[in-house]
Amino acid sequence: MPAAEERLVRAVADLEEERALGLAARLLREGREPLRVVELCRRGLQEVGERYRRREYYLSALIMSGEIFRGIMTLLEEEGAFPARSAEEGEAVVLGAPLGDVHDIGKDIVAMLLRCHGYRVLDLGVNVAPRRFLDALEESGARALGMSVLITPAYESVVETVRELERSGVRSEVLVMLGGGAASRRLCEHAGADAWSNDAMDAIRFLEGMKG
Amino acid sequence: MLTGIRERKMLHPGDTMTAEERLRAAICLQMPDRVPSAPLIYYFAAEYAGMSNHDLYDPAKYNAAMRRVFEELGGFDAYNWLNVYYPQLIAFSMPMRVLEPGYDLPPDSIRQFLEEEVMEIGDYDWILKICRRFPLLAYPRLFSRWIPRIWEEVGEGWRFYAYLVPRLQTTLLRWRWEFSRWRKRGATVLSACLLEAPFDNFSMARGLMRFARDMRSIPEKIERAADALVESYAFSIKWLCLYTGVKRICLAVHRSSNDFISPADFRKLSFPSLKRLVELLAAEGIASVLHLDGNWDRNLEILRELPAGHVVAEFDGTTDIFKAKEVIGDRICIYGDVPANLLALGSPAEVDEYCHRLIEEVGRGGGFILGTGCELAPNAKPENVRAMLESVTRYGYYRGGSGRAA
Repeated sequence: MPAAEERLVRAVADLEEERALGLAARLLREGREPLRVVELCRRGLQEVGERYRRREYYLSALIMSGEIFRGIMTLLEEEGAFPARSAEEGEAVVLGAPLGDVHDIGKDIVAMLLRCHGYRVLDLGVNVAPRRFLDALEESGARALGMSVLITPAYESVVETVRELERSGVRSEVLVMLGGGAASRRLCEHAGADAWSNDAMDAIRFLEGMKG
Repeated sequence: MLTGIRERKMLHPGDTMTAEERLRAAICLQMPDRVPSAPLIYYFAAEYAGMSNHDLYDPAKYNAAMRRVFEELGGFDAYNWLNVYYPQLIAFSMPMRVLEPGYDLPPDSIRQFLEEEVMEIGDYDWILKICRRFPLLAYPRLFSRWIPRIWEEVGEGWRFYAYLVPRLQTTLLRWRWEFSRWRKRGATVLSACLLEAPFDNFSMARGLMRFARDMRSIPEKIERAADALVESYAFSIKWLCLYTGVKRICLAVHRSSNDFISPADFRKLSFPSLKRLVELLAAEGIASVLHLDGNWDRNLEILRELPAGHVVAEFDGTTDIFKAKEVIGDRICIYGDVPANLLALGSPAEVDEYCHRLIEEVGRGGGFILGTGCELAPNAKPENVRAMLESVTRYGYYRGGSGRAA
């Protein structure tokens, strides 16, 4: 890999925002393909993920890396070089906070991480009724659903959503992930979900496991 | 006839200490007669009493619901509370935009906070300036800047004070009255109020995404602004403690756990102002109950630097509370942590087993308060709450403690 490209990967991994933006702009000026710049960013983000797993980085660093990625994508757009196709590619994932829960921060962080890792995210927002989750899965063909639960009164809606998937006969085709502060093993078992975590990065691990 | 001597009301037949004596002993890392209990209850009371959550804004309904929980589910030693009767006042603790049951949400919903920008980037410099000019009054000045950004009807300048001071006065008077009622029932009051530590206030008011960027780009400003506010926070807390007659304050540290920031950032950006605040309060005889939601496993060693015997660490079921006992139990009273999901989805036998383990292991030698992991889940099963509250009399009496032998 040329030195300039390596520097971009390292700047993203080290969370050096200005440096990363500057290097991305320079690579574009030098004639690199926009998709190549996106690929380099993703390599940097993978290193961020590794550091997070090693507990060298924490949530604030993940958020920052997402902001850097967003900044570079904006730069590509401004340069008229945004690879719009890439947003339409990738595995689709439906995300939302279930009915009764209007907290969006956990879901937004997971959505950002998934986009950074090349997934196509259908973010249904907060207070999402079970039927809407199902409709989105059917319309998009997504095989993964993530529900972000921060408060225990939303448990009922999580359970109802899984039942709705069962009633519609698509349960076995969809990976159901639970995340957020109120997610727990107990809730996962109670609702009949497939995976749970209080750690946003685990969403990527679950999805990679589904592929593998 | 004896006058002027307050009756030493005991909560349970086996008790030899009052709830206040028991709580103080636990905080001072001594061994009381038994483990005290202090569940954090708010929305559960409405659910249990068959009211809507919005009804809790009505003082009479709130107090009736809390009384029912206390009298029907086994009682508790310390009243740990969250009630305000005017939603605007919540912003003094958590400066965030908020959706309220019965106002913005259906009456049975629970309050939900939004990650929006209340604190502007320029506010760090403004805080430093205002702290130089009004070192003791910077706290109300700061919130008179932030709260109108959350609640339009509050208004700025003199309108802020005209709107909020009467509501604050009314609330404080009600709290004093409520505290006296709890003491008459044989319980004590855990804290004079709940406030947020300065660093964590910034994180909430900036919003998580913006604050993550601030931590990278202007860490020194965060550190200086948080430190500059310490005197005014301490001054406001001292006043609240004096007014309510409770020499304990609940300090929430919602955004400093390992879930949000690294131990290194905690050490550098959050802990210095928190430590200085706790030390200033300890010098006044005020104990700090640190509300430590999230995972604190890797921050425990740092907490050891807080003044011994003046601090309570309240965990929510995410931190390894058994490890916390080993690491900080000789300096800090441990408080917690029956998890919300256990109380909502588990069985009474499972709750009993967990509480028994907490009492045996974390309660060993004293310095422990049994509590819920953060707030008692609104949908907790009443039989589980009863199992939790009864566990302190079933397993919690200390052999050779200041009370009766086991």
